[in-house]
This record gives sequence, C-alpha cells and structure tokens, in this order.
Amino acid sequence: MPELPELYEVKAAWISQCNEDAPVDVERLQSKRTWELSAATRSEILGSIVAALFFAVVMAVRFTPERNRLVQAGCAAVVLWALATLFRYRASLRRDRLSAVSLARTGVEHYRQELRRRRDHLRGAWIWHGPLVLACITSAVALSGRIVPRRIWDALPIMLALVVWAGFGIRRRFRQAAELQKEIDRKEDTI
Amino acid sequence: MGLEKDLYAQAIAEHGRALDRLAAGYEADPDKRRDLRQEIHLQLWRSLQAFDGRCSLKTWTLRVAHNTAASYVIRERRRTAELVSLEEIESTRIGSSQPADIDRDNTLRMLQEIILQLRPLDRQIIISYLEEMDAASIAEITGLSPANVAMKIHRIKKVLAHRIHMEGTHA
Repeated sequence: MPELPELYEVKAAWISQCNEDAPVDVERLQSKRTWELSAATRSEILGSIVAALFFAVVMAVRFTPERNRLVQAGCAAVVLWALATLFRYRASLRRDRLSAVSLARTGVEHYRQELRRRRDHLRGAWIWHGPLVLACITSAVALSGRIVPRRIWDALPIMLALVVWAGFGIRRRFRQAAELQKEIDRKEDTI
Repeated sequence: MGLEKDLYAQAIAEHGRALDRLAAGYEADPDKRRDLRQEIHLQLWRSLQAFDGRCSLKTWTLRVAHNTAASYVIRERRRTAELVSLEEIESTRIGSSQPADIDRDNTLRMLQEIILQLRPLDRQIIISYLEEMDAASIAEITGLSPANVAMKIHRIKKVLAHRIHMEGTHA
C-alpha cells in the first residue's frame, strides 16, 4: 500500500472552522436532561398501561352483573400483564441510564452495545403494546359471545383498527430490530 | 465532586474546541448541533466520576464525545439508514488525482458533506485524522486495530484528495 501525502490544507480547514462560543452549564443541563428522559419514558409506558386498564375497568364494570368468566379472566390477565410491564419498566429504567463507565468504552464496543440496547428495546415492544392488545381481544371475544351479541358490530371497527395498528407497530419494530441485528453481525465480522 | 470538576475544566480547556468540531461532524443543523454539544459536555462531566487514569484524559474525553455522538446518530435512525461506509464512498470514486488548490470554505463544506454521510465508526476515524491524531491514538479510541485504522486513513486520504480535485476543477 503506497503512502499517500498528508492533506495539510484539508486538516487546516477543519481545525480553523468557527466554533461555538455559548458556554455550557452542565449541572443545570444534567438535571433538566434527567427529568426529560425520565418523563418521556414514563409517559410512553404508562400511557399504554393506563389505556389497557381503562379498557379492563370498562369491561369489568359493564359486564359484572353477568359474572362472565371470560371477561373476568381477560380483565385479570390485562391487570397482570400491566403489573408485569410496570415491573419490567422499573428494572429497565435503571439499565437505560448510561453509566459513567459504559461511556468510556472503545468506540466499537460502545457502538455495538448501543445497537444491542436499541435492538432489545425494539424486540420488547410486545410488552408495551401487549396489555392493550389483550384488552381488545378480550372485549371482542366477550362482545361477540352471548352477553351482548349485537354490540360487536358497533365496536368491531374500532377494535380492528386498534389491533391492526398495534400489529403494524410491532411488526415494524421487529423489522427494525432485524436490521439492527444484521448491522451487529456485520460489526462482529469486521472487528 | 471537586476532582471531577477539575478534570472537566482541564478537559474543556485542552480539548473544548476539538469537541465543538466533533459535534459539527455529527450534526449539520446549528440548533441540533448545539443540543448535541451540550449532550457531549453533560456526558463527559458525568463520565469523569469513573476516570481512573488508565488512559489519557484526551483519549477518555474523545471516547466519551464520539460515543455520545454515535448514540445520537443511532437515535436519529431515519437518517442513519442513508449512511454509508468509507469503502462505499471510495468505490464511487472516478480515477485518482492530486489535490488542487481551493479555498478553505469550500474545503470545509466538502469535508462536512463527506463526514455527515458516513456511519459513526468511520466518522470517528475521519474526524480523528483531521484532528491530527496518529493511527495508534485513533485505534485506542475506536478499539480497531492500528493496521485497520491505517488502512482506513489511506482510504480517507484517497477520497478527500479526489473530492478536492473535483471541487477544484468545478471552481
């Protein structure tokens, strides 16, 4: 491999570019950033759980007189799933915060780790959408049964829309996760 | 707390300008670049709690800065999908030529165009090369072997020389 000449002019152009002059107050930034990250994650996950629990409560209140076992089991499953999601959220909240040591890894290792973290998050999409999907399925099955057979036609379009929306969302996330996995595999090959 | 503040102050005094240029290599939009710059400073400040002196402060600072910026690029995934490697840029080269004289503004614009197309790891190498770092230092930051870095620097030089020649002939 013949040695090429150094590009001093190019390096000089890079080094002499205009720099930012605004000072950085890191302590204020840190508290603001921590709050924003925490609030965004919490609202994303809790929004999904609240929607599912709302569905379950409506179902339970509306169908309590009939004492329908299917509805009761469905609502219980939704609540359990929501609790499991909350539990997982608590654990992942701690893991998601980049530790001081993790930021000082080599570039290759950090990039690979970030890709894995993103991939795992995308693969875990089912747990965020899961309670809502389960609530939709329970409602659909209950409404299509003996309790209120005619209501199914009123509720069907919105339930189908919700299920299709959740399905597409999960599929898209899994596809993105597969793309990330390919990139991770490529990185493993080149190191 | 006092020690990490001192280390942060030292890192910024010695490498603050390099961090600004690094942010410019990861984000073209001025407002977003300001946010990225603040994020880099924040993560550097946080990371210094764990600084153990096993590598130089410069290596540590640049690792944290590049890693923070790489995470930013990954988060902006829609744009990452269009990124290419150095090898792909090199394969679109036509012929080979020596650098021609063009002004610094054009050179900088051309540099940023190339850098912003690249995947994070290749960006780390080209930015470090432009910051006058040698292959061994770049290898320490990226985790690639020095031979691999040297090969990539060779490609960078070829790509840049060709682009500058093209700019020069169109100027």
